[in-house]
Amino acid sequence: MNTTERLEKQEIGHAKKGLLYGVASGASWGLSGVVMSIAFGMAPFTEGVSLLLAPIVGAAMHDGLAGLWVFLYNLINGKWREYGRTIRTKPGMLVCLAACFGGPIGMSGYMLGITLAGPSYALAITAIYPAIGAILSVFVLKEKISVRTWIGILLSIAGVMVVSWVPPDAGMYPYFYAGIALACLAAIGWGTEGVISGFGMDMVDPEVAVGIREAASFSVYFVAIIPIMFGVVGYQMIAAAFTTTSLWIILIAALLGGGSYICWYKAINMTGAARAMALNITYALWSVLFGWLLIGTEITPTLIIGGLAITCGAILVGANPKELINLRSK
Amino acid sequence: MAVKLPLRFRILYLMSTKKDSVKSEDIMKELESDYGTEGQFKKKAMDGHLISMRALGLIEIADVSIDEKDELIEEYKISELGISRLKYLPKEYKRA
Repeated sequence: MNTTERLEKQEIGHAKKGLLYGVASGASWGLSGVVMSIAFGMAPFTEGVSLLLAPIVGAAMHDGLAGLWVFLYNLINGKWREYGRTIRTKPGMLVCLAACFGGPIGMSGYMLGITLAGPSYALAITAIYPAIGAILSVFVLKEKISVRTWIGILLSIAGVMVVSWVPPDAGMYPYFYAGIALACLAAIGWGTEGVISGFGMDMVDPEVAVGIREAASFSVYFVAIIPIMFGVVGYQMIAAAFTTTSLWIILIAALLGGGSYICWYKAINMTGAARAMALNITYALWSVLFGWLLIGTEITPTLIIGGLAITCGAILVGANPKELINLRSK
Repeated sequence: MAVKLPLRFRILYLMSTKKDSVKSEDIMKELESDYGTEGQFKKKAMDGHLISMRALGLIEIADVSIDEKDELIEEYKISELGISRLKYLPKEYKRA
């Protein structure tokens, strides 16, 4: 093997690792969601005076605690000093902006969508976010996306819709259409997050970016969203959660969620925003699998068909790592 | 220079000041005095930064060879995209 071949092999290896991080981000996000749903079934989240309180407070705590886990991780790998240095730069500020789209807009929209329209619809709609992100990344990041990758992204999205589709139950979800609208908002938020972070993270270390992202997201929840939407009651629920077992469950979900974000941002850095997002939505499939293992969610034929579509889509996205060597068109 | 840059910014800045291409080892040597005491300052992490920055198009491979230990040695230089990103550096790092 000559030098050029060895270099190519090494670069393909790097790109392939990026694809693996993308899949790992989906799996850990799926598991984190299932663990969060266990927490939402416990006190104090079952005692909310408003339908919206528990999902928002839960999302805020998830991001805050995930930020803490990521900080611990960066403390160990010697990157904690990078937080302050990075946040003073423009790309660092872009990471904070991305956090606002992903956390308070994306995550809140998703959680509210689940509450108001049911998990199936919220999941199916938010899974469109890679398509939104892919369109944006072609224009903003000048990423190269082949026809095959596009087919893969669309197939994955179709699969998520098949997995999640059940007829709406008007009796259970009186605010169904508001929930759908919020889920759409979440998809736009997440798509934008992926693209902005892809832009800022040329220069920012992905592990540091996630740390800043989680901290920024939590801060916006804590000083703006919670007081504006709920006032003191929101803080009371956080305080109450700290004295119950649900805290431990959220700590586990946050560990998985933080890990998922590290994998996702690393994948964006190594394999490009569009592909990373397409692999990230395999979370819909993983959440079904983990839901079946942990809380006994039923496996139906549509789940299997949709699951196959998601998997085939993901394979198409990552099928030819050779074209991943140069993420951008010249 | 007053503010210490995030490591990746500093790598890019360093390359912008060099006429010749640089190896991972050269960068480690040059940045030792500023970042040497930090846990993140490891050869493996440095190689990781460089390979990601190349995939993203901030830097380019100038030359590649195999050393006596049969290891692949890449030499990098800053790319046009990388030069355009220098605008994000703080004032004191900007060159006329």
